[in-house]
Parts: sequence; structure tokens; C-alpha cells
Amino acid sequence: MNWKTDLKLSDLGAGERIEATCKKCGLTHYEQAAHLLTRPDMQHLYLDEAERLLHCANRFCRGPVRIALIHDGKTEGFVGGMA
Amino acid sequence: MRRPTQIERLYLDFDGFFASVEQQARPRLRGKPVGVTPFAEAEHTCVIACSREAKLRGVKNVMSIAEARARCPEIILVPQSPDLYRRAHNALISEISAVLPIDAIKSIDELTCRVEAADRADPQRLGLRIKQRLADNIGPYINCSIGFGANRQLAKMACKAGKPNGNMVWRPEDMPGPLLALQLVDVPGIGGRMARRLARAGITDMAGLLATQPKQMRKLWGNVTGERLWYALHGYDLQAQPSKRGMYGHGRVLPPGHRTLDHARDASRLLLVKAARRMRRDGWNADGLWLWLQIRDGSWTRAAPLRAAQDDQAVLHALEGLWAMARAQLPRNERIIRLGVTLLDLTPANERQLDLLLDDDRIRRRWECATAAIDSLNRKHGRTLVSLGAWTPPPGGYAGGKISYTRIPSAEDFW
Repeated sequence: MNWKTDLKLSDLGAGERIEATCKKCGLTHYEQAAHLLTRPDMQHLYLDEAERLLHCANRFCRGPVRIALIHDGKTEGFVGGMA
Repeated sequence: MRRPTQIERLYLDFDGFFASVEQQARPRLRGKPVGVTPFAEAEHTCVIACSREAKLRGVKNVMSIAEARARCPEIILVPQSPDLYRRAHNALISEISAVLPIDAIKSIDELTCRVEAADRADPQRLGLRIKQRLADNIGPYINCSIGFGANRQLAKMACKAGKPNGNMVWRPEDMPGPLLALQLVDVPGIGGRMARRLARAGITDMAGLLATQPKQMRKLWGNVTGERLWYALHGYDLQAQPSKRGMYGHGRVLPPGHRTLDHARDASRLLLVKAARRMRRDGWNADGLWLWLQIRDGSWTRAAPLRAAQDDQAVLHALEGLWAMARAQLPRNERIIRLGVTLLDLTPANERQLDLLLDDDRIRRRWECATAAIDSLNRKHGRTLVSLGAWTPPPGGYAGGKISYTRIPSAEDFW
């Protein structure tokens, strides 16, 4: 039981990006959650299931990928030491 | 201003983050004193982070390698792996998000959340749930300390007070008891200089600080931060105001064999292109470029105007102008120890103000299209496949992938 088995693709925000890193060659590419949801085979999947359907972006590799979510938008600085 | 009567905030801080990620990822380091260094085989620098085992032997973060070796001869030094820390951060944040929503990520190893009403009666159980989830799904070698308080500041201080591996609750009804046990410098926002300023005003301990008035704190700080800190320490619902991004930049210490003007120029081009990529990704234009060179007897700094540009050709052209000045003004054999490039005076990319006299909109649009095509190709191939001019990363790797408080690099920053 981890975050990938807890979350569905449809739980992600439309603009959210998924980072997919190839387990074979290390190539990283990004997928838009909204774009993946347009695929009929992806619409109702949990993230671990979606991960299994994704492949490396290099057409000569096509290896399995490990996905991660990007949390850029939540970063906030300290102001005068205050959290 | 509202003064919560219950626990409302959680603050989580990973213990010895870089070193514990190294231990989790590399079994040979587990249970051993580990120090993380900026570069491989660097002897004249410092340990940027160390493991719990190293700390127990007297090693501290930002201690020179020589001193760390003197205190702990068996310390294992490993070069930093920013991409590994970035990936660990993403996985940890995803796991924590599955327990409760994250309010703000304060740095690569610190975050804060709102405590939901159902968890306020027993926040420690929430803390244990998070810790158990991280242990089960990430691994037992990355520990965190969690603090709970009425606001972010008190939760952060509770978190620090409970380190390592803590789960500390400071309930509003128990305040200010836990605060009185602290030193002034334990308060985030009070450093050595501020503590001396407070001492000159007769405030030498927490009891004295808490006995002040908000306006008195404002006067002592010389700005509104002091007053805001007063309210935070007294349990009011107050937190740091969101800050606006003002610049994009990168810096680099050059290795001893790469300190000529030519090497420094090559490194600055690469760092600038990486900074410009980030700026484009976030939707900004820059009005200025700043080049800073650290030389033996000081530094050399110049700025160049950019006219609301974001494409690689514009920023590199401005950089070449600055290097022409540097070459004209610095001795030919000058050694550049460190350099920095910064894109500043940001304006939203979709609000470009046209300059009637310059009339460069048509050419800028063409270069923006070319740069977008380059970015798209590089993104597709997951590396810098196309660039304007030579692409010569400086030795040591990770150029442009530095981790700072407010910046957690993405995979693209390592290309």
C-alpha cells in the first residue's frame, strides 16, 4: 500500500505533471495528467496501474518506468526566519 | 487576529536528510558515520551534512573535512547526489500527501500541514501514522521529527525541540512553558547578531522576549518581522507571507584546473541557459542580466539590460557583451574562483511591454519560437541534445542542480 495504490489518475489536478523515469536507460520524460486521462485505457486507473502502462519515451528502449509527482507549486520560503 | 485554542499546524523536518537518504540508498553506509561533501575527493571543503552516527562522534554540518576527520577518523565521506535527494524528496512528499494534504514545502527536507479537525485531539497518533507510512513505504533509515503547535512557527520550534525522530506536541493551553526552556537563538529568526541586539536592550532570555510588546519587537527588529514574530510566539495564527520571485540564477565554484577566463565563460554560458530554461518554464521574462566573478583580490560584477527577453539568443548575446567587458578589464591570466549569473527584473512573459525605439518584437518572437523548439527537443530526449553554441559542463557534475531552501531542482535541471 503506497501513494501509487492510493491515488487515481483522475485525482490529480488537470495541470499536474507526472515525471516518468526509465528503469532501463534512465531517461526522464514528463506526462500531463490531463493528457493521460484522454486515453480510454487510463481513465479509471490507479497510479500504479498507469505506471505499468507507461513506457520509456525512447522508442529504441521502451523500458518500464518509475513515476513521481512534481510538487513545485507548494514551495514557500522563510521570511525573516518565520515558517 | 485569531488565536487558535487547539493544535492546528504540523511541521515535519527530516533528520540529517542528505546523509540518511545516502544510507537508505546504499546499504554499505548503514549504521556508519557518514559525511556528505560537495565534490568527490574534495579535501579543502566542508561536510555539508552528516549522519546521526557521525553527529554522535562530534561531527557537525558545515564542519571542515579536516576537523571532521580529526573528530571521527572512521567517517565515510560521500559526494553529494542532488538527483537522488530530489527523487527521495518527491517520494516522501507523495507518501505524506497520502496521509494529509501538504500546506507548504519549506525546503527539500521541511514541510508544514494543517491538522484536520479529526486529528486535533490526538495529534501524536497522526505523527505516528506518518512515520509508520514512511518506514513501510520508503524505508527505516530516513527518519523525521514532527512538531505540532497552534501555528507554523510554534510547530517548527516544537519539531526542533523533539529532534531527532521526535513527535512533539505543544498544546496552546501548555504555552508558554515549553518556550521558556529555550535559548533565544533557538527561535527561528533570531541569530547571533539579533541575540546581541536583544541583549543590548536588556533581553537575554525567553521570559524577557515574551514579556515585550508587539511594537517593541518591531522597533528592536527595525521592521514588521519583529512584530509578526511576537504574535507567532504568543500563539496567534500567523505565518510567513508568500514571497514573490525576483530572479533566476546559478552559481558555481570552479575546480582549480578550470579557472581560466575561457573555462569560466563556458561554465557561465551553461549556467545561464539552465537559469533561462527555468525562467521560461515558470513564465517570466527578464529585464536584466548580472554576471559576478570571484577573483583572487575581490570580485568583478557587471549588469546588462535585456528588454523583457527569455530566449537563449537574447540572454547569451547579453552574456557575451559582459564577457567582452570582463576580458577588457581583467588581466588575461586572471583566475576565476567562483562565478554567478542572474536573470533579474522579472516581468510576466505574457505581459511583454514593447519598446517602440528598439522595435525588436519580430526578431524576439522568432528566437522565442526557436528556443521553444530547442526546449521541446531536449525535453523529448531527456537531455541537452540541442543548444546554442557549445555545451561544456564544468567538472563535478550537477551544474544548475543545486539544492537551496526555496528551490528543489527538477529532473530537467540536471540535463
